[in-house]
Amino acid sequence: MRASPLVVVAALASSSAAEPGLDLPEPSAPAPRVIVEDSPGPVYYRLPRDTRALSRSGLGVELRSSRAGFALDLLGGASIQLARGGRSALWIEGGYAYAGFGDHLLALGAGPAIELGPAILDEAHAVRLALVPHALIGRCDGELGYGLRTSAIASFLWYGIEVAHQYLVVGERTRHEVHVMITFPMTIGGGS
Amino acid sequence: MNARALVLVAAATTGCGPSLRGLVADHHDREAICGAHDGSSGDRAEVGRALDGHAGLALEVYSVRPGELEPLLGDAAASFAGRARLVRVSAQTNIVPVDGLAVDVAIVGATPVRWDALAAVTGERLPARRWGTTYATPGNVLKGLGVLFSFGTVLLPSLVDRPIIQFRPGAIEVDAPDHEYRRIAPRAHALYHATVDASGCSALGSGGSTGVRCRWFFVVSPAASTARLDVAVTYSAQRVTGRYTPAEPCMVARRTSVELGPIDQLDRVFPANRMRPLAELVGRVGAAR
Repeated sequence: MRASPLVVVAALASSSAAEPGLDLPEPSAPAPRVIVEDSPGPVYYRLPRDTRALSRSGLGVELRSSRAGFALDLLGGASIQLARGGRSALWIEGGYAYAGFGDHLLALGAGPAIELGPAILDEAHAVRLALVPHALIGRCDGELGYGLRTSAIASFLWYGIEVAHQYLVVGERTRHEVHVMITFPMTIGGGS
Repeated sequence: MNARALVLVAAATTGCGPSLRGLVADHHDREAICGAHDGSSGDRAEVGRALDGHAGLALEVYSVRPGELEPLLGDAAASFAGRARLVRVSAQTNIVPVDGLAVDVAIVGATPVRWDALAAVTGERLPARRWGTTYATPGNVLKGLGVLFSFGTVLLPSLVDRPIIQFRPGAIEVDAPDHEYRRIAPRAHALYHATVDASGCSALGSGGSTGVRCRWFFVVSPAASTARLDVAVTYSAQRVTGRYTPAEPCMVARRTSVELGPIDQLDRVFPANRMRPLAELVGRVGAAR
């Protein structure tokens, strides 16, 4: 005997409905209280936090007179917002800078930074511009050198571009150099 | 400009935020959660205690009697009782001004109801898992990225039967269908659906405030004489970023352990199946933090 599809469906439904459950005594609980804010909630701590760690690893070139040399930077630091949720920040970073002319320098810098839209990106990946003067000290061509690197930095997502003027004093000589770097990855900590 | 606005402007310009104690006193729980999240462990403990007070988590733990299992297991209910106890934990919170409230409990030494735990107790064999196919494989994900980055051009050779990229299914191990469990392990199947289907949390409240009502079932060994309940509560609040991409929420997590005493005397701790506030259980029954 063949059962019609409707009978099969009805039989399945009734077997499912007949499946026994556990008939346990329900716990008694007081009606839940509704806690409401005493006034419209302030917004301060919920704004993105004001300090974010950053790291920049860059490869590029250093231009000295008519010569060009390979350059490598390994830098880390922090971006400190001037106010929670604000777009202006203090950019602090330090680390190691190498140039193919035989320069091994310690760099330490701080400067203003500003974050630009668009709102579709979170704070960690927004367009960010910074102007960061760095103090430099280390060995240049086997001699002690020191100086100043003034960097204009633009970052977006995980990429950054840095164009800098570098003034170095090595022994009794002075040098003016141009430092151009592509930074990847560029990481800036999120808001949590 | 009113006093509150002045306080906030001052806080924003000086870098010092509002007092966390004041925030929780005024029930500004979201703001306090983010303040504690960004603050010290002491801040999290202080705010967490206040949030616990607002949430007023109440619990009931009930040991299912063998007679109550008879409709499910028939004559096997008595032998089940000799091998394990089934324990139900119920919880309820107040409705509090937070964006997320999650409660989880565990009974130390007990197993949450799962197929393997139930089958071990009923002494039944479970149907073997079987192999199925899926297109959600790492290789297909990589191929999908290739299509995306090539703007679909790598698919063009497929039009002339010379495909560069072909999506192929991979093998995946899946559970046997439910009717197989019912046929091979009928008692575990009945217990599973009577307990797992009744487990979980439902949200209470609406319009910016939330609470939860939850239920869990555990299989407890008859050798376990006492029950210790571990309770985890997580409060969360969304950041206000003015951006489309959601930021990681702020969270304050709380953990409390409560000694409930002998399992066969839970009726004394929860007379008449009455839920009791966690704070009361910690104070009167015993706590191990």
